[in-house]
Amino acid sequence: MGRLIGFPVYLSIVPSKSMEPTLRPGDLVLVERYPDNIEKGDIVVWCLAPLHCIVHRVINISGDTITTKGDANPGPDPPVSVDRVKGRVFLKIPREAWITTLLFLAIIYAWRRGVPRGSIAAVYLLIAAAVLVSAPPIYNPLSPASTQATVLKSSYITDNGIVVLEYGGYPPSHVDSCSAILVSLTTNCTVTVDVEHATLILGVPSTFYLRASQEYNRTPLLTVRIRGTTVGDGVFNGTYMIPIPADKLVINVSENATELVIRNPNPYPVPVHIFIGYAKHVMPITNGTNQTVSVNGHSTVRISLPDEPYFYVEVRYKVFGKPGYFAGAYNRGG
Amino acid sequence: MQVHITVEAEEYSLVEELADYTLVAAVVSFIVLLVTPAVTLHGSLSGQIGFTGYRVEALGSQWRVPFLDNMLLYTVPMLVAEVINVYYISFRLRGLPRGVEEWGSLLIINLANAGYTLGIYRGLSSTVSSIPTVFVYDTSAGHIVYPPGVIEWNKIWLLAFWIYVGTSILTALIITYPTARSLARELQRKIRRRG
Repeated sequence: MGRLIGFPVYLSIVPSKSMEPTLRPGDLVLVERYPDNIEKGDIVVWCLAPLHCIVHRVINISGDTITTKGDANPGPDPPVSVDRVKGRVFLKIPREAWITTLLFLAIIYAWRRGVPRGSIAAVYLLIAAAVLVSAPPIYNPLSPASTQATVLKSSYITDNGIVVLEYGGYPPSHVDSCSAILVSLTTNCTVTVDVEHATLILGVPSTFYLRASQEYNRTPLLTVRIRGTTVGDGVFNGTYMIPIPADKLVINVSENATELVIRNPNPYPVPVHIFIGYAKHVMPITNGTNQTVSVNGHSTVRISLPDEPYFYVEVRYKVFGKPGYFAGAYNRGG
Repeated sequence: MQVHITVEAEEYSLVEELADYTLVAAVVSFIVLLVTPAVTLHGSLSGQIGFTGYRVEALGSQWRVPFLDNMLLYTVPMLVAEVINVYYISFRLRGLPRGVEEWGSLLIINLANAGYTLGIYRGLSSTVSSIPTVFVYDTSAGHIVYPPGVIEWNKIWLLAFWIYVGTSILTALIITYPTARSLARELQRKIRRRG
């Protein structure tokens, strides 16, 4: 009525569920008539016909047209001219508040003015009927907010062979057992729980990687099994397959040909067989030594080369069945 | 004849007194309903559900239940019924007589209120029965089994329903008793005349 007779502010009742949960059917809204500057996010009233108006939120303003959308609607409304906007919502009165207030006022009025005693039951029945009609259906299945189920965000092996498991949601709060498995090799791992970062830090012995790298000839996938408890006394069983880095060693001879430099980029030791041959004069090599060196994970080994004019270096190693080979003949120009 | 009327009045006032007590009990039970949670959740679930509000949490995340959002609104008719009950109780306190009209109103209100309370109770129990109590997740993090959630009902709800029924029965007795009595007397008189 206020809108029709031109009041600057008027009351309107929300008729549908399209703006839930912001506005629910039956809520009263106070509307400012013909607002000056409409902004994105405002809830506006625009009318298709004098008695058919829509109360939706502005999601886009482009020149003289606006696009609105009901918060609960999957898609936007068709763009409409700004001229069709009749008002902007600036206050919401929840249906519980205004219905209860009106009912109390009615009861107080009846009490003071005196309603025929026998007809008071009719008041009750009317109120009950009004509530049942205006309130949403009684049976409404539970609609939980998405349950924060625990997920594994990432898993990786650090430079020093530590396995890191990063979780989304709740990580295990306590780990009872942890084992690392590679084909038929199994070892226990130590566990540190970082609850703050939802992370588990698992210590896997480097000897396990070493043994595995020498015994198996397949793409390395470390299986980690953990069993523990999480929030709410939930029993947690997780099995994760984590790729083990199996990179080639970086081998070279120093610039002045005095050292053989071997760098292991893997997080576990790699045994290396080295042959260094040398000669006083031009090739062929007449003398040489064989040795086996273990190059620790993420470390570099430097081996002195003989102080001879001519020498030959050969390096052989194996990482998870992948053979590595390096060879070179050097002439110091003596 | 004089003596007979006095006895009738005493019988009538005894039932009336009982009806008044059940009215008071109905008001008290409604107040208890307002302040006592109807459902308490334990285990993986936690929280309480009552008329004035609810909190349902499962594994730390809060759930929204549309029906429970409107619970307070649903209590309005019950509140009105109790206000009317208090109004009629005040008749006795003020020493005012109550006629068939008043008792009739009370009968209608309390019968309707009993049905209404039962409806709300059923709605609530449907909603509560849809709360999952078993939590087993298979995610990228693994297989997680949480202990089952436990839902405990507060029986005060059903007690309130029976109080409304009791009030209705007593009120019905008050209305029908004098009528039945006079009908019986009339019948007796007719039999005597024929005899």
